[in-house]
Parts: sequence; C-alpha cells; structure tokens
Amino acid sequence: MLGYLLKRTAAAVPTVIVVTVLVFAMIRAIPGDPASLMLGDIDNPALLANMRHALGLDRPVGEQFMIWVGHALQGDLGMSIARREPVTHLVLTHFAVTAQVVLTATLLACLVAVPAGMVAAWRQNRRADTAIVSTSILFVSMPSFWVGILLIWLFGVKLNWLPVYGFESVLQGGLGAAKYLVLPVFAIVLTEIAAITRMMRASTIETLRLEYVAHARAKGLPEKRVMLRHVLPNSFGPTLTVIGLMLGHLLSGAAVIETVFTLPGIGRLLVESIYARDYPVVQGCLLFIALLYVAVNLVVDLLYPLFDPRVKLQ
Amino acid sequence: MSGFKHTNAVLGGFLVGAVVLLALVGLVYTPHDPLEGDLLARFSPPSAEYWLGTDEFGRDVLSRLMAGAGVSVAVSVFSVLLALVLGTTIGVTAGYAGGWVDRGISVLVESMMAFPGLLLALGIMTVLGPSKWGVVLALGLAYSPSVSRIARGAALSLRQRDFVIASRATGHGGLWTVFRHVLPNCVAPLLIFATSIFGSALLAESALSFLGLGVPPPLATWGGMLSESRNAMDQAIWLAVFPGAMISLSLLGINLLGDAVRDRLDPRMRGVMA
Amino acid sequence: MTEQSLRAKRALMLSAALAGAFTGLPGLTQTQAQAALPEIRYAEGSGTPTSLPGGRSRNTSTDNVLAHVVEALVALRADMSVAPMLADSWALSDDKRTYTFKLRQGVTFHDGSPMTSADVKWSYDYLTGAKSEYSCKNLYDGSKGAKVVGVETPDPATVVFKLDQPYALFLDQMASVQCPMPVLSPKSVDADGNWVKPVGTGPYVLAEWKKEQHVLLTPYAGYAPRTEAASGMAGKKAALANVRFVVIPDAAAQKAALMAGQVDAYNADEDNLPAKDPRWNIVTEQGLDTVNLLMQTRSPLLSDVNMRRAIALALDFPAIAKALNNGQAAYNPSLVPAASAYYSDADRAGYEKNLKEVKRLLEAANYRGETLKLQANKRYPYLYRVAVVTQQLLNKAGIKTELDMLEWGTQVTNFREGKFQLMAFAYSARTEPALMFRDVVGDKSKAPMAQWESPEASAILESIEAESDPAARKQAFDKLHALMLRDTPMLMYYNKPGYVVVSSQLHGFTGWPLRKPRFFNVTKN
Repeated sequence: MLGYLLKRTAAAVPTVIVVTVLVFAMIRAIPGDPASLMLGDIDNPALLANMRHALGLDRPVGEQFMIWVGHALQGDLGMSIARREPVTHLVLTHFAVTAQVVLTATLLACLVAVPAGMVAAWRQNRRADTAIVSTSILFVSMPSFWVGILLIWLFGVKLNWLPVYGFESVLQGGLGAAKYLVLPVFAIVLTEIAAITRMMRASTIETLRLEYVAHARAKGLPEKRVMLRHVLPNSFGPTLTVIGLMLGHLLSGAAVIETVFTLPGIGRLLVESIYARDYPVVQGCLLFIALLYVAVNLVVDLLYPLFDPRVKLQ
Repeated sequence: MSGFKHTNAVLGGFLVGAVVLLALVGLVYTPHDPLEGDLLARFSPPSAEYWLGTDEFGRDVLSRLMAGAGVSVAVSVFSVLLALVLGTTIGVTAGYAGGWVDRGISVLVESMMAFPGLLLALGIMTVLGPSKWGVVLALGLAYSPSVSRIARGAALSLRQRDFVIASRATGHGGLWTVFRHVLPNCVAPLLIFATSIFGSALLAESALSFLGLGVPPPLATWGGMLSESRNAMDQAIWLAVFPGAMISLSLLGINLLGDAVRDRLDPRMRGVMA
Repeated sequence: MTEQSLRAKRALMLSAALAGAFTGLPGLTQTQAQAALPEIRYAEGSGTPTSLPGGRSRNTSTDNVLAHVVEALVALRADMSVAPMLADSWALSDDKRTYTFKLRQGVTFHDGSPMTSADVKWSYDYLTGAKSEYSCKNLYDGSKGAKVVGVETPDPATVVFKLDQPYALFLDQMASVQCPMPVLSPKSVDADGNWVKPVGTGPYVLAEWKKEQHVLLTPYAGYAPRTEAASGMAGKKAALANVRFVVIPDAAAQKAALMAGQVDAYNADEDNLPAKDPRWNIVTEQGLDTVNLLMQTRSPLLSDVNMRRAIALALDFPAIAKALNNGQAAYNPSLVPAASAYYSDADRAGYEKNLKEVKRLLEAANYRGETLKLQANKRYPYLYRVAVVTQQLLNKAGIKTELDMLEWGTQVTNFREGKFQLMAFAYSARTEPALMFRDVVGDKSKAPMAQWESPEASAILESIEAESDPAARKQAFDKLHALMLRDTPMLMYYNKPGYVVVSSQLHGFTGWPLRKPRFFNVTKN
C-alpha cells in the first residue's frame, strides 16, 4: 500500500512540474504586468520602474521561475501583489470557502442521489424509475448559475429571507453562518444529484444483471440485504469515479457560482488575480489546484478496490 | 425501445431540432435587430412588439436569443470537432507508438487535465482577446485530453491484435494501419463520448460568456445575456429567465438525444439509460 | 534584501497602513459609548485590485477609509479649491519657493498627544524617505513638479516647506485625496521603525479591520471640528455615528444589499441603480472623470486632422451624453471638468453633428472605406455602452468601424503603449485642469501615453507652472481648449456622473465631484 502511494506520488511529480511551468509562462505571455496595471492611466515612469524592480519583474523569466520554485519548495509562495498578503494564506482561506460549499453540496447530493439511483434501478421502467429519470434529466440540464440567479432573486430580493452576498465561515460563525451556504449549495446540489443519480442507476442496473445477484436472491436472502450488502458496494465504484471527477472539477474553481453568489472562493481568486496580473497568486493557486487534482484522483483510486474487488491496485 | 425511452428520444430530437432551426432562421431573419436597440424602449416587459421583452439597450430579447442560438450551436459543434480531431490524433499516436512517446504524451495529457479548463480559456482569451474562435480553441483544448485517453485506450487494445500485426508484417505502413484498423475501432466509444461532451461544451460556452470571457459583445450569447441580467434583477427578471431557459432546453434536448444514441450504440448500455 | 526586510518595507506604504499589522489588535475594543451609537454601513467595493478610472495605485477603498482617519495640512473643498485643515493659514514667499504654514492649535492625535510641527516634519520624512514605498512620494522629489529641498520647524506651531522652483500646484498636491500627505504621529511605528497603525488626527479611529469583510470606524472623542462650513473634505467634520465599511466587491450584490436593508449606502453606476422607492434616495454627483474617444494620431489614417474631424462631426455628442446617463450628464467638449471652478462658456464650445461636412472631410482625407478598430472592454459597462453607440453612429455616417473587445488589463497595456487606433477610455479624476492637460500633452516618442503632440500647448502649460493667479490660469485653459478644438487629437463625451444610493434613514449625506464618500456630519435614525 505504501509502495503504491509512493509510486503514484512519484508519477504525479512530472505532471505538477509541467503545470507549473505552463502557468508561469502563460501568465507572463498575457499583455500587461501588475505594475503598469496598478498605475492605470497615471504616467510616472520612475514609479513604474521602482515597482517593477521591487516585484522582481525586471529579471529574466527563467530567473524569476527559479526564485519562485526555490521559495515554493520551502513552503513560501510569495506575496500577493494586489492584496499584499501571503499567497499561501490567501489560497488556503479562499479554498476553505469553496470547500465548505462544494463538500456540503456533494455530501447532500450523495445522500439523496445514491438511494435514488438504486431505487430507480431496482424499479426499472416502472413509475418510480420514470419519475426519477425524468427529474434527473431535467435537473442535469439546468445550469447551476442560472438556478443560482433565480434563487437569489426569489429568496434574496423578493422574499429577503437569505443574504445575497458575502460569506462567513461555519468554523467561525457556527450555525448562524450556515445561512450563507444555503443558496449556493442549493444551486449546485440539483445538478450534482441528477448526475450522481444517473450514474448510480446505470451501474446498479449493470450489477443487478450479474450472476451473483441472482444467486443471492435464489439463496433466499431478503431483498433489502441483497441490495445493501451485495449490490450497493459493487455499483458504487463507477459512481465514485464520477464523484471524484466532479469534486475535482468543482473544487478547482467553481468560479461561476462564486461570481453569482459573491463568495470569496478560490475560483474567483484565480479569475480576479489573472485580471490583475497578480502573478504570485495565480501561480500559487494553480499549484494548489494541480496538487488537489492529483490528491483527489489518488483517493478515488485507493477507495475503488474497496467497492470493486475485481480492480486491484497496480 | 420502450414507450418511455421512445418518447424521450423523440422529445430530445424535437428540442435539438428546434434549437438548430432557431439558429438557422436567426442567421437570416430576426424580428428585430439583435445588435441595435431602441434606447427609449429599455427594459420593456414582454409585449406584442417585443415577445420576450427588451434589455438595457432596448434590444429585443427574442432576436438576441435567436442570434445567440447560432453562436452556441456553432461553438459547441466546432469545439467538439476540434477536441475529437486533436484528441484522437494525440491518443492514437500515444497508444500506437507506445514506449517513451506514450509516456511523454501521457504526462502532458495528465497536466492538461489538471489544468482547470476555465483557466485555460482565460489564458487564451487574454492573449487572443475574446473571440468566437478563441472559445472554440479553448474548449477544444480542454476536452482533448479526455478524448485522447479514450482513443489511446482503443489504440492500445488493438496494438497486439492479430490483424494489426499481420498488417504491419505485410509491409503496410503505420499510418495506413492506423486509418484502416485503429481509427474505426475508436469511432464507437468516441461517438458516445462526444454525445456527452456536447452538452458540456454548450454549458461551458455559456459559463465563459457569463464570466465575460466568451464570445465578445455586442454579439449575443445566452451566457452573456444571463450575465447582463444580474444588474436588472429587480426590474427585469425576464432577462434572466429566458436565456437560462434556452440553455436548459437545449441541454435537455442534447441529453435526451445523447441517451438515446448511447442506448443504440453501446451494447453494454442497452436498456440502461431510459 | 532578505524576505523579512522586504516585507517590512512593503508595510511602510500608507496604503499598507491597513494591510500592515492590523490583525489581532490588542486592547482596541469598542467602548460602551461607541456601542450606543448608530452604525452607518457603507458597501465598499474593494477586491478589484487594478486601477479603475477614478482610482490610482492604491485600492480606492483604502483612500475612502483613510480619508476619515487622517488629515493633512490642507484639504479640498467641493469646487476643488484648497482650504485650511491642520494649517490655519499659509504664506508664499516672494520668490514663490517657500510655503510657511501656521498650524492649528489644540489638535491632538488619536492617542491624545498634541500635534506639533515636529510631527509634520516626521510624517513627511517618513513617507518620502528613502526606505518608504509610498507610491506618491515621487510627487515631491522633482520627477513630477517641484522638488522639496527642505522642511523646517522654526517653532512648534510653524512648518516651512522649501521647493527648488515655484510650483502652483503644490498645495493641491498636499490636499489630494488619492495621494494625501497626512500628518501622522511617530507612534504609528514601533521602536524598530516597523509600521503599527495610522495614528492620525481625523474625526474617526480605526477600531476593527477584518480583511475582505469590513472596516469599523468609531468617532474620536478628542476631535475638535473646524468652524468653517463643511465642503468637500474641508471645514467642519463631526463624527456622529460609527461607520462600517462592508466589503461587497460585486455591484449587483451591493444593490441587493441596500434594497434588503443590509447596508445604508453604496456607490452606483447607471447599471445598478434601484427603482425609485421611499426607502432610499439617489444622490447624483457631477464627477471629474472624463469619458473619451482616443484617436491614435500617429496611425496612417488618423494622422490626418480631416479624418479626425470627420469622426468628431459624425457623432451627436449631446444626445449620447444625455441618453447614456438618463439626462444626468451633459456634453462636455473640454478637458476641464464641468464641476471645476475653472469651467465656463469657453469650455462649452464643441463639435456639432454634420453629416454633409463629414462627407467632405472624408473626401479630403482620402478615406477609401477602410475599417477602423475601436478598442473597448466589458468590464466597465459605461465604456462599453459608449463604444457600442459610437460604433453605430460612425457606421451610419459612412465611417466603417468595428468593435475590438479586449480584456481590461490588455486594454490598459495598449493604452500605455499607444497601441490602438480608436479607443473608448476614461481618465481618472484630476483635481486641477493642468494636471489633466499635463498627462495628455506630450511627445509620443518619449511618452506613449500622451494623446496630443503640440509644442504650442506644451508652451502654454509651462507658462502657468508657477502661476497661482486663477484668472491667469483660466486664460491659459481657455487657450488650450481652443487649440484642442482646432487640432482634434481626442474627443470628450461627458464627465461621468456618480451616484450614491442612500437609505432614507441617513440624514445629512451629500455628494461631491471627487465622489469619495464622506460620513462626517451624517446621522442615522
């Protein structure tokens, strides 16, 4: 197991390196640099030169990269140019916001979708199945940012039940802060439930066809036991992959949802930093996201054999 | 197909057909000019003259939806095509060639997958400036890694097969073998994949437009219209309802149709997706 | 330079006063008296790190907060003239190089210590010193305007600033809101010279700062307001309530927050004004930002003045200004803002739409139907609207124009490098017309950001460098405007109005051309 972990980690290193180099080069290829952007329409060449020098922008790109890598390996991702705060702190605090929303939504989605998918498969082609399938297809077709806008309008503007801006971490604000989570989670959860339900249903149907299920039924085992002990674990595998993909995708920047709900999450941090040419933040975010992606993949792969004994860790 | 499945497929086909028709019609005729508005008629609610109301410039929402349909359809189609072409080329090369070529390409592909598609689009947009083809390029690039994985899988599984070895042995070049044997084997899984990313591409284009990174104004796009609607939520909620509904209906059609196609093509999936 | 000393340097910037060590303030808790005061909540849009039209290299929101906490020797009135603040009066020497300020008596810093001339000198040295990273410091070192060669303190109530040459705008500079020269107490730094917090003389104290969430100001009990009537940032400034700057970066969210009663005021654009309602009022401010159409005079087609005049006469400026601002702004053909004391009939002379003349001019310029590219962006909706309308009108007049939509950062870069043909752009507010003309007039090969290459105009500007007499300055501005109409290097549409949506529960809130919110003399139910 340890060997597998090490092997996978080692295999991920080139990926992370490539991503880092790509980001470093790309952000600098975009016209404009943070110093000139901050000055805007002010013409002050001496000031501009000073700012560029202070930010190390007058050095060759290769040298800038090595300096950044050197610091990064020591855990120092530098200072944000626009916000004058340590990048690591910025990335972690913003990620915490995204994580709270996304993980809550995914958890809720699983709680609803896994049973729903199984029920639909169990009652395939009967009324319950039709209802679940229809609802899923409908929800999966609704863009989460559209749902978000309508939710804000209904619950924020018209009814004024929930806040339409801002965020307070549940860790600090306790249950009272949960009200900031309600609308964004609701917006994401509908699509997630739909997608997970569909996947769960599909893989459950496949599992139900397998011999050993018929075998278990023939043995006289109660249906509930068959479903829970034999079918669920085996059909959860592919769903887990989908969940992993979704999580990775969402965590790495639900920029759209964060824009709609003005959440200070990592997606918005990334977008705003690109607009401001805040190189250290962009680089730091991307490094973090790449590592996150690798980690999520790893976890999914580690968990998969628990559900599908046919798959072995290689 | 069961009655329910049949209905769904027909419904999907109908919706997709309607959107495509709207797009085609929109190319030559719209009730009003989608780009120029009557500043005196700003924020008019749906009426006889403006069926779906007007926006902040007094532009007719229906006309813009029709113009936007063309953009959305075109961008989705072209980006999926680009992803298919690019991804297949890369994947087949990697799977067929094997060895360090395969490994090198795989590292690159992995990196691309770790790269958030949004950032890629952002980067391309800021360098090229917002443009229709920039979006196609960005989305195509974003989906190619997944396509390449599928193509690689197909190519790998074939490499050792008898008829491929035979083909090489009889002196046929690698390229010919690829075209004759490998590619046809990829078609089915790729087509299945394509039906599922079509919807994604449409949604992604809307998301990019929503963030201001997509097809640039004054061209109408559904996502852009949604984004502009946010400022007028209290006075003109129809500006948010209609573009979003269009996106949803299009996605619904694509999903229904896609399920039906997958049902047909993938023997494993037969009877699985309703 | 070690990482540590680099960080310390950064913390020295006045803007970094907030970013400095305000985390975990020991002992600064709200007193009972403060808790009994009503709290005014203002939506602050910080989080946009680039320089907006209207702001400079610091965050606009930092300026807004600091304007309540610190003061300088002088301050700006609503008509942009200079008024006394920490200095009661000043005298200019005959050679116009020495300013002698008489300080106000009885002023104390937030920690209770009295303000003396030594503190003025200390602040100045600290902010402009070699180690300081204050972005405004090179306004005083000669690279732009005069150089301050010495600051003397002959007695605790007198400060003397010596310049190397006469400079009419020295006082304007000191009173600037975007680039203040505040008087701080040496207690603002610790024994090692590291920045702690701004200990100033203003009517408010920084009580609490939660990054990206809010800044809370509470009244300074020891503040003695001036007796003159309040105007701009000058005159009487009484702190009658707590003020909380709530961070809401998104414009739509600010509007929703006000409508929901979660904030009491926010700065708005035409796009996010709420419908009329008894629960709030909309305060309109005639602004100083100019909305312009820039034309690259060094590009082949546009180097011909006939072509540029054709463009000017193809546009219906009064209609554009009125339509895009719901009647809240009018055509201003001049670089002198309409709100300025220098604005007069001479500045109202502009261009009148004349499609026949356009045809003739296009002929004279040999226009063969080439397509012009108009650069614009979506980030600032008013610029986008101006661009859309301009493009439509130009096309109607027979001048083929296409919109070239860019991301804002790219557009700013193009602006700075002169890489454009036509560009919809806005200049941030300058409090004195000369400051605006100075940035617009120049030699493009040396300063690519210049828009107007005219030795005549440069000469006029130089002649008033040392001229403090308003009448003489006015004459110069009139001449410059006339020259501009003749050369047509760029086109002005209007001065961008500002709006502040204020809850009906607030009383006494007023707007002013510089548009920075002021909560002095404001009460809440």
